[in-house]
This record gives sequence, C-alpha cells and structure tokens, in this order.
Amino acid sequence: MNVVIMGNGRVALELATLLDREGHGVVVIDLEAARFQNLPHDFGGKTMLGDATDEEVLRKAGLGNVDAFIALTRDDERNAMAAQVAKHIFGVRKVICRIYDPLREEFYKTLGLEAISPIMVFARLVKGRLEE
Amino acid sequence: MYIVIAGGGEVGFQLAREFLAGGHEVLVIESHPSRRERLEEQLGDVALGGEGCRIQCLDEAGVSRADVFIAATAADEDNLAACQLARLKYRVPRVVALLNNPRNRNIFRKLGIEHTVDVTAIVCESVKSVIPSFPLVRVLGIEDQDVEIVQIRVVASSPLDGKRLEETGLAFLADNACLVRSGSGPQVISGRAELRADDRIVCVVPRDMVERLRLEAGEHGPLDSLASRH
Repeated sequence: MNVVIMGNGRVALELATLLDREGHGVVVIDLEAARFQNLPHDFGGKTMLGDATDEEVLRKAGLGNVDAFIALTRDDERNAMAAQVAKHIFGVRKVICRIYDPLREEFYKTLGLEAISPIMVFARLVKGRLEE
Repeated sequence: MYIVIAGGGEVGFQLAREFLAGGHEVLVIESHPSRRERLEEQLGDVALGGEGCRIQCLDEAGVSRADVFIAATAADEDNLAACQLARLKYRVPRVVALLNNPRNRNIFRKLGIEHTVDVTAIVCESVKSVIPSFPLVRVLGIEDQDVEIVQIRVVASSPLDGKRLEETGLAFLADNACLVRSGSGPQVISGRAELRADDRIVCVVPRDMVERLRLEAGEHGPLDSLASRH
C-alpha cells in the first residue's frame, strides 16, 4: 500500500513508522524540516517539505497514484482542505482526517470526510476501562 | 439583505462599512479583540467574537438566515471551510471567498465554491496598470462565463506603436473594443485607427485568449519589458 501522510506530530510519526516497518510505501509531508528529525534513523519512507493543501505539492508526492491519504496536522481547516483535494481532485479512495478539536466533528461530517478524534477515542477507551 | 462577513481585517471592515451605508444588516465574525473594537467603535454593534469556520459561531451569527456569506480572512483554508459550511450546512444562497493564494482558485471551484475573489492577482494587475512598460492588464473577470475585461496599452516602440489596428495582430478587435486616448473621450476602435504610444484598448475576451493578446501587444514577460527600458 502507498500512503501519503500530512503532518509530522507524534501521531503522524508513529503511523509513518508502523506502516514503513510493515513494508508499505510512505511519504510524509510537513511545513517544517526540523520535524523530520523525529522520524527514526532507519525510516525507509520519503519526506517532503511543503504545504499539503497545495495541489502541486500533492501531485509531486504522487497523489495521483496512492492508496490512502491521511491528514494529521493540528489545524482542522488545513486537514479538511488537503483531504478534500486528495479525495475530490486526485480521487484517492481512502482519505482519513484527524479531528484536533473535538468540537469540529460535525464540520468534517458536513463535508463528508472520514475523521477520527484522538481525544474522543481516548476518552471512550478510559471510560470503557472504568466500566470493566 | 443580511450579510455575514468572516474576517474583520481591512477588506472585511471596508465591506461592512459599504454594506451598512447601503442599508443592509451586517455582522462581522472576528477573533482578534482589537479588530472587534475598531469595528464597534466605527461601525456600531456589528462584531461577533469567534471564528467563521466554527459551527457554534456560525449558529450564533444566525447564518441560516443570511442572504450573503463572505469569507475574508487571511487564511485560505479557513475561508474554504467557512464557505463550505455556509453553503452545505446553512444553505446560504450566495457565498463568496477571498483568495490569498491565486493557486487555490481551482481547488475552491472544484470543491463547490464558485465565487472567489483573487486578492493577490488584483493587486498585481493594479500595480502593473500604473507602470507604462506593461502592455496588458487583466482588469476584471466575469467568473461564471470565463470571460475577462482586458486593457492593452500601446507601449512606445512596441509592435503596435504607429500602426493601424488592422495591420497588427489585434485586427480582430476592430469595431469590437474601446479606444481610450488622452484628450478624447472613449470611442469604439475602427480597423483604420492609428495607434499611438500610451493609447489604451479595452476589450472583453474569452479567458483563453488573454495570453495571445499579451504576445500580440509585445509582452514577452514582465522582466523582458522592464529590462528593455534600461
């Protein structure tokens, strides 16, 4: 599977590493080069410096020919814009966004985007443990 | 009309002032307190704290009864999000987005935001219009028809200077464009019109013809035309 990941926080880092170790093709796009240093030394994927809401940047990242695009920045509007470009302009089949602010859940739903809120997932997980 | 503007920077402020003067109901959504203060001081009770791309804020603004929604913040992703919510969730009949990055025009269109105002391009064209060595200025686009209003300036010693219109590559504009010459009023240009330096020809053309006009008017690129004057 070929996957393009936008953003390079902890979640993006872990996901990129997991996919790379399983032998998938991974491209990570970020606005700041310094954040690529957080990737493990043996990371076999590609890194790209640039703005993933830019159609040209996504084209260079090979969006025309990938299986999935994942938007994981801390800016919900940027996630939504990049995800929509991936889905509607490049026709990427699997597009997933991170909901940074849980209040933005309905926003993603309105746009028809698949989105996950790490905060809500974790809250529900803890609640589940309490109820065990 | 009820007009909601997301973003109370200079553009949002001036729009609000004009709409209020025209008797419309206006609300400006702005997150910076200092900008809200300026709005309230000069225009009255028209500012709402918050972000135009947040549903709670749009609910509070009563966007569902708005006739027009304008996104005028400095971030294109916020303008896109706000306009999409206004259109999809609140069904606002007329939604307009300001573009900061001209390259996003295509993206906005494909994502359903048809009416965009390309602020950067407008500034660039306005600057070029006051520099005599640029022969072509894109004055205005009629977006939904892919048509543009273009101004061609006859630059001294360009391929147009001293020729009749019918002898130039712009012959097809005969009787189909307006000649603006200092000292005489605007008039329809005839094929026999002799072109002089600093004449302006204003025409309405399909967008895909603009680059051809640029070449016929003698512009090879902004740097070339500037360099030739030194």
